[in-house]
Amino acid sequence: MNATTRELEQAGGAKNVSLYICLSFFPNEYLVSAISQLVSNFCQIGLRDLDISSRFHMAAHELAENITKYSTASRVSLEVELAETGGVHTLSVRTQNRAAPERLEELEKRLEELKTTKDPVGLYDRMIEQSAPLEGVSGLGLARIRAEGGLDFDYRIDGNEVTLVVQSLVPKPPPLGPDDQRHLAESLPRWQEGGELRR
Amino acid sequence: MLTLSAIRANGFALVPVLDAPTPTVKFSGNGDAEAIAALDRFLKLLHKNLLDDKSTSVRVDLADLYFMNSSCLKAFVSWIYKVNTTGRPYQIHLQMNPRQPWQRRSLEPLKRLAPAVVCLDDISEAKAEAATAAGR
Repeated sequence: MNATTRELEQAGGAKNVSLYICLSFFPNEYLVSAISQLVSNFCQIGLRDLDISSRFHMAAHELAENITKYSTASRVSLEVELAETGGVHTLSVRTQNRAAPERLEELEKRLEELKTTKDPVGLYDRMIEQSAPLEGVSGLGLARIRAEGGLDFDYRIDGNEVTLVVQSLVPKPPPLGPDDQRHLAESLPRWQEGGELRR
Repeated sequence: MLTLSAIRANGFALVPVLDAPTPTVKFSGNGDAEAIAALDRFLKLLHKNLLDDKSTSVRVDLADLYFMNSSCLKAFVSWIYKVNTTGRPYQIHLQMNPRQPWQRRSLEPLKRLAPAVVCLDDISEAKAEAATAAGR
């Protein structure tokens, strides 16, 4: 696993990225909780907002599980970015994985429905009702991100490569201090202790 | 009284509270992929236990539960659906920790699925504080 954090200042550029993490890893379900916990720490350090952090913790968990379950390649990636464009601040999580060709048509149909729905809560409730009598895989993860997280959702399919993006407008982040960087760095070794969630 | 055994998976636990006046199960830890099989099995046994005991309600204490993924939520969906479609023999009281903001967002869809079966209750501030302190 490779994790990097960087603070970028692009004076005069269209987009200012204040925090960025990219994780590239072998898909493994045992990493999912550790990854979502790191994203939660990242959000909490960057924004100091428990509500936003918990929404992105959930989104990162569902996205990381999704790419872990469905990737056909030995490497997947998850990026988190806190950026500002023209005074508007956004927090986003982006995942990339390769999917099985026979799944792509059905996948695109589901993703398009999620992206374009005007009523994500109604869609999620319907999916829950439909899944209730069925045993097995929930299929609720991505719908949960939109309905429960209240987050925007977009996707791109390029060949077998699937990119999912979840984002939200966020308040202006408080200034980052040296302690914040240190706390984020210190959270990394805890993954290797089993990734148990700590708050 | 519940006659189930506690289940402790990696970072996740389900513990029946034996001396509670109402059948109560305490959840703690992180409900992720490692918890799904244990949770699914436990909820099926719990349902049978509550029917055998002719219980009219069960309390699910979530004060120390820090996260639940969509597959664990699906296990709750299946349980609630079963109760709702088999004569509603008992009510399910989901006791939430107000300091875990994800819980209300995650559990309200379960209430909408079966409003006559599911009750959402917040635990007391003192209990929430104790759970937060224990999780630090």
